[in-house]
Amino acid sequence: MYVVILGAGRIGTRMAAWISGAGSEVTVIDRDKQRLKSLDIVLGQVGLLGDGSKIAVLDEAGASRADLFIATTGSDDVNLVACQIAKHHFSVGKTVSIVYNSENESLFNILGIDSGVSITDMVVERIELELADMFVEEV
Amino acid sequence: MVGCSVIGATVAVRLSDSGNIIKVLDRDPNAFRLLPQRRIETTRIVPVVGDGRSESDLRRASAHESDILIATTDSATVNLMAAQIGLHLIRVPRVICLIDEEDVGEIFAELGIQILARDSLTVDFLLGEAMK
Repeated sequence: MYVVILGAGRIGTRMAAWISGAGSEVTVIDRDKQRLKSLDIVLGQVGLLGDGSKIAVLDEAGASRADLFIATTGSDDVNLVACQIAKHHFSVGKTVSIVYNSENESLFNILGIDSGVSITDMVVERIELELADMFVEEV
Repeated sequence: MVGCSVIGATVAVRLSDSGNIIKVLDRDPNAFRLLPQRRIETTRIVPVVGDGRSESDLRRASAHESDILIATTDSATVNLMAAQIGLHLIRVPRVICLIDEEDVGEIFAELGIQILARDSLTVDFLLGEAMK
């Protein structure tokens, strides 16, 4: 399996390490040279410098032979557009994206992103779970 | 109008010249300096501080009552997202979106968005001038 990840931040880096550890090939696109450098030290030459919302950069990343595209940047707009290009131009089988503003989750679904993961909702739910015992209704 | 860039402000003024009411959404309140003060005072152009990537901010700028949404921020991805929120979630009758590259434009034109690409506009203009 071949996976292209957009964003070499904490999430993108951990995803890349996990996928690479599972024996699959991975390329990580980021606009920040420094972040790619630290990624390459850990995982070998997997980084590609560039703007992942550009067709030329996704082409260079080999998006046309990718089975899975994962968008993990901190910008919902970049993640959305990159997934749409991956899906419509490069016919990537599955696109997954982080969604920061949970208000946007339905847009990602409507536009055919296979899986939009709302980070904010997840974190809030987790915190609520952790704090649940503090808010038990008093009888 | 999403984005009070030089282009956004210029188009807003032109549309306002022909009697339209324009709401201009921008994250940066300082961007509204590009709009003529008189038009703001007479509420013919209404500045609204907010993010074009947010459905609720677009609605605060009355996108749900608009005839047309034009996205002209300096970021192509922000414009594409705003245009698609307008088209699919708010159901604005017509959306126009400014982007950088024609090849990306082709993908989104097929998805129902009217696209203006800076590169092809520039090439068309230069060719037109050269052929004169």
